[in-house]
Amino acid sequence: MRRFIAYTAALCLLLSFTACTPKGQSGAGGDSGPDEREIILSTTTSVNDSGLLDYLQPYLKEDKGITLNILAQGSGQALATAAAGDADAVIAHSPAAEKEFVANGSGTDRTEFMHNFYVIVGPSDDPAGLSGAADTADAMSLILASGNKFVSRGDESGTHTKEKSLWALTDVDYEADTENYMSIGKGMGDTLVTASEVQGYTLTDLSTFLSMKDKLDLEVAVDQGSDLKNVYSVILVAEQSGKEIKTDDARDFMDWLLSEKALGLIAEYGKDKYGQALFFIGQ
Amino acid sequence: MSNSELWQIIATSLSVCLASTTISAFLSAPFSLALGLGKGRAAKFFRTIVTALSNIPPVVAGLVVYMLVSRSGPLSSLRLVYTKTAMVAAQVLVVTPLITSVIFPVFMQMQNTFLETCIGLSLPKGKIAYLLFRECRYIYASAILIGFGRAMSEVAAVSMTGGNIRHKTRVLTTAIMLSTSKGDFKEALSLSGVLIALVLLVNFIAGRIKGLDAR
Repeated sequence: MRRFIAYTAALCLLLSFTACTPKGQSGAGGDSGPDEREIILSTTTSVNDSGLLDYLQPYLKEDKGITLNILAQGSGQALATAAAGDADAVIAHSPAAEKEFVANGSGTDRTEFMHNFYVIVGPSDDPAGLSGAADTADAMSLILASGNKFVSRGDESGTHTKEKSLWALTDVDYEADTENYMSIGKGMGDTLVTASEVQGYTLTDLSTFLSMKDKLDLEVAVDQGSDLKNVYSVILVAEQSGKEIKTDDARDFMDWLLSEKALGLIAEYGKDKYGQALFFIGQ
Repeated sequence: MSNSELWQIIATSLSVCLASTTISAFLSAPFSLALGLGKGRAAKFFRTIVTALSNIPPVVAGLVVYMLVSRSGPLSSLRLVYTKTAMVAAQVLVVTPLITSVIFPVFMQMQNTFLETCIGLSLPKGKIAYLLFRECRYIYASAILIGFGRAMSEVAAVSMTGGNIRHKTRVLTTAIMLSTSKGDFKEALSLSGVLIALVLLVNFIAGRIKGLDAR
């Protein structure tokens, strides 16, 4: 017992020393890798669920010594968290909300750097007949008109914002159809599970859908189409008085993310596992 | 959020929690009698189990019910997934052990005094059970209200089984989660205020009822 206490005390002492080591000193000699740094990246559930950041993390660590602490939330909350100074950088896909975030001084250097496509997914037998739809707007109206269910994120996320813009292309009063229009206020994964459960349709980003496809009883009903494009941006959180924002480290992360190497890695991501790239470079 | 939607959410919260608490109140009566008056190792074993289950994480109760009623579950034909019925079922799993675990120790204490007297008077069994419940009606009522408070304040079970569907299965706690995830902290705080007011009211009533007992 006494020996156990001695070991524990020694361990605590050791840990307290490590905590005291000044940041950046380890890199001073030049021969030991880059500095150990950590930043908080506030991002959307769809980015995190796709696994992209876990895939990039080891390269980022090797090149810049930066560890990402990821807060995965809906776009609305991701931006709100950043505006409150609780994150150093943001990756989001809700252009209108992002522009407002920059315009009100919460963020700087917003850069659109990759995109993919939303898809409408639904039951495999396509009861609403979306495969015969003329365009995206037509497909959206067909869902409720044929008495099928549509499951909405309903959480002011990028995907929800996109969905509302698609409804705006139609003349459907979707909110009035409380029987078939199900607004569940949850993340992308939960929404897909619910859609599969009630055998309804939903709008999703392709990457989250592909990463969960084997657990779902859903198929892609509508894809492609320029109005289904989904653009991702990286934004630095602006310095605010009284908040400790690691602007320099976040800028290093951003520069790295926009470097040819990182963009090349992103373009390759998913090809081995899903047979197709999940993200495309550029806006 | 419109006023009518807020009222709808409050109404859903209250109806689900009232239903689950009522069912649990009835279910816990025979359980607490059996556990409180039962003798031997089996009774002791189940007393331990129920006491432990009084702290069952709502997320586990929700998961169990969800897996039973989901499309791939054994009860899928009942089509209960994302309904108030499923929410009530999950809450019954949470609230019943809670009420039972408050009541059965009271019966255990009454065993040597009250029960012996009743048996001594050779009263019929039904009459004894009635008298036992009558004797501890105040603590029973406050246990029910504690259960109701737990049902009102848990989020995981109702979120999983109800699916937080707007106008249908959205309750106060899941609405608070949603406002927070939208980054709308103001709305989240207002809803929290409503929830806390309701829970406080219930606890206040529970306190008063318990106080009656002391008189």
